[in-house]
Amino acid sequence: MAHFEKSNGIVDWLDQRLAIKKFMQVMMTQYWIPKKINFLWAMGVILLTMFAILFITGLLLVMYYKPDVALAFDSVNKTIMQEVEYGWLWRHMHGVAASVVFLVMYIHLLTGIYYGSYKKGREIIWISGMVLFVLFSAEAFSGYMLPWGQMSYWAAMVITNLFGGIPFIGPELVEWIRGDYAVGDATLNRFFMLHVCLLPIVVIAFVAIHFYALRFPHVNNEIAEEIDFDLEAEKYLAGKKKEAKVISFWPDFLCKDIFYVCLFMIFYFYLVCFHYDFAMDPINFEPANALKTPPHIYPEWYFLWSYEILRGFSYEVGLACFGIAQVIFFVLPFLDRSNVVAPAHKRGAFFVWFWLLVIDMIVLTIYGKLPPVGINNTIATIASVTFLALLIVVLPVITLMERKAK
Amino acid sequence: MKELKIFAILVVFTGIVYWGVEPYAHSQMHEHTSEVNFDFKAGDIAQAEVELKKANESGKKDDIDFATKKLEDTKKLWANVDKIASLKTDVEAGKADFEANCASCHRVEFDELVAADDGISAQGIIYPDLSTAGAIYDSKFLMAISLNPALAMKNNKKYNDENPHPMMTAFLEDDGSISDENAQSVANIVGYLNSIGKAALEAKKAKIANEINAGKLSDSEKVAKINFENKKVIFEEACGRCHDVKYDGFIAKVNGGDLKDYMGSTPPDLSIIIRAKGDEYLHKFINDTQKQLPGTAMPRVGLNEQAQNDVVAYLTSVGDSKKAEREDLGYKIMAYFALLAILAYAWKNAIWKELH
Repeated sequence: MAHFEKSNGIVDWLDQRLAIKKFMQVMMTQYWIPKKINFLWAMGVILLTMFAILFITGLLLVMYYKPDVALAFDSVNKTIMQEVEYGWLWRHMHGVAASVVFLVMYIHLLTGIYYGSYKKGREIIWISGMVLFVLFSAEAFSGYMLPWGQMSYWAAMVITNLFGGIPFIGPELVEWIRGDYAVGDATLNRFFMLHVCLLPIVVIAFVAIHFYALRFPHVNNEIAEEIDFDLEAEKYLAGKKKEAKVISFWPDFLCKDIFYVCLFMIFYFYLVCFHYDFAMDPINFEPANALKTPPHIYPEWYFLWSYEILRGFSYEVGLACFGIAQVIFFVLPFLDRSNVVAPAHKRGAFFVWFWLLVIDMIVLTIYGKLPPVGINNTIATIASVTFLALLIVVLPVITLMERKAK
Repeated sequence: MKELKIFAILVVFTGIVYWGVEPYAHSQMHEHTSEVNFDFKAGDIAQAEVELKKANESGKKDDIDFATKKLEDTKKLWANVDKIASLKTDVEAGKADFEANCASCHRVEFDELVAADDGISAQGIIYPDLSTAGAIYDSKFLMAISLNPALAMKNNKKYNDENPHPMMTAFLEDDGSISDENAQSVANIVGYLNSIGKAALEAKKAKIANEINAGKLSDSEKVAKINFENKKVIFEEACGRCHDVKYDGFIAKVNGGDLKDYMGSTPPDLSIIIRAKGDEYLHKFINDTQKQLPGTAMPRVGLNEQAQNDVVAYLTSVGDSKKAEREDLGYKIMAYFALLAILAYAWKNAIWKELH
């Protein structure tokens, strides 16, 4: 048994048993972050804040929500929204955060692409981040079903139907996912379990992995400079903080992030209290009705770009392309054939490629909501082909050229 | 400053996405419809013209014939209404005319006209008590409905010569014109309804106010409750025969199954319809049901402007009951984070003084 001395206080007592001082050093005070970063690097902490809000408000909502097709709609819209004290606040905070978290995630993701943060040594950070994106998508979709409104129901119908397009096992798979022949009580119950139990656990695990994965290659910086972190840390610890290229996670990095989080919260609560409906489809305030199809069925805004890729082609081809679009970003570090790690504006062709990708995704998003008629179909096909071509063909080609030019 | 430039780019791109997904998509997905119009004559004729234009574009003969006839009938109907509206009314004679023409089905409890049996028709549908009709319905609409109920209520697609509207009237001649005698009769009946409508409504409101004032609420709560109930009364009179508002504990007076047989579909619960449809849609829809939702089973009920505003206000206060609390708290939370941001900025500066 280890030797324990009489402690001189609670901190020391804990330190002897849990090594909390060492732990704080590793996680906070000697977790080195490059100094040269801008506010885009605050997105991670904002995401973490959003996730914490989703988690806590979610717990409060689960106290009153009833996962039963006969009760779900009223438990949300009456019990929570009208009867529970501040139930409306928890619900709006949860609903708005679910949407805003995707906005921040897209910014986070595009920042990573712009500054080349997915490259050389940082692949696991990128891939674990993409896993988080997919997990959040599943979390968002399973949560969207729960109020059992018209759009919840029909979105569940459409999305589960997609699996029917998988060769050989499709129809059986759809039935297995739904737990019934049609979307019904069994479906609602299992999505409830996924939303409040399994997926959050996996999300938390991957948040930890994502954070841990940063320890070795370290955080990238604004000029993608390769920093000798040990050397810079020595300078910092020796008191030459101005000279050192690194700062500590706490308090140096977080004090700045907390400021950004506060600014973000003003925007967030503006939405929660004055414009909650920006993210809530009004059709979802009508109870689910299996006999009445809504005139337009479309997903939430953050899925529109991939939904449009699905619609851009004939059914089978669209399904395959949709599948590819879902996973294509995972292999981004391997599609980029260049070993140059630099911000996009220092990479010529890559810079153009980046903005084409952003514009194309915005076109897909906007047209993803419009009815698929006439010219809209043509635009959908062109934008979808462009998206796939940009990633599968153009990116490898321009990055190979970049490598050869060096 | 570079960070501000990055932020501006972020805002611009986010703004474009928002514009595309919200206002732009909305404008593309929903047909633009004309504004609310309480000049029913002008509104109906304009709407019938729009329908005829659409029918002509579709090229389907049945649709064109139907729309042509509808425009013709609409013009005729409102010309007759104009004729009636120009006459001087006699309230006493109006009561007698009401008893002769309407009282076998409709009651006017306020004036103790209760000859009609408690208002259940063969289809299980309650004929409305018309005590307050003069106060909540548009007078010209009342004239129009006395002449041609199907056309006035805009369910003429369903009711025609083979399938007559359950409200039987015989004021019109075969050629669609109205005799001077009948015109005077209708004018008198509407005059009579107008003469008692307001008093009947005030009596109902006074009764509710008395009950509330006798209760234990604080003064401000009493005022708020009376205000709420005054709007609810209008809703009950105008919509309460068919629509539930479950979240306010209100259940329609007519059984849902009977309504489905009669209307073709079950009228939706209106508890949070304000959130599903929004203020503007509801105003347009109540004003002219067919314009917003062609083919809907819901008849145009002909509310006047005041009554329509009260109905929408009632639905808002039920469906968005926490609005005041939400906005009040919103300012406080935002102010809190603004203050916190200032403190955080000061703290950041203090720490970064050593770093830069």
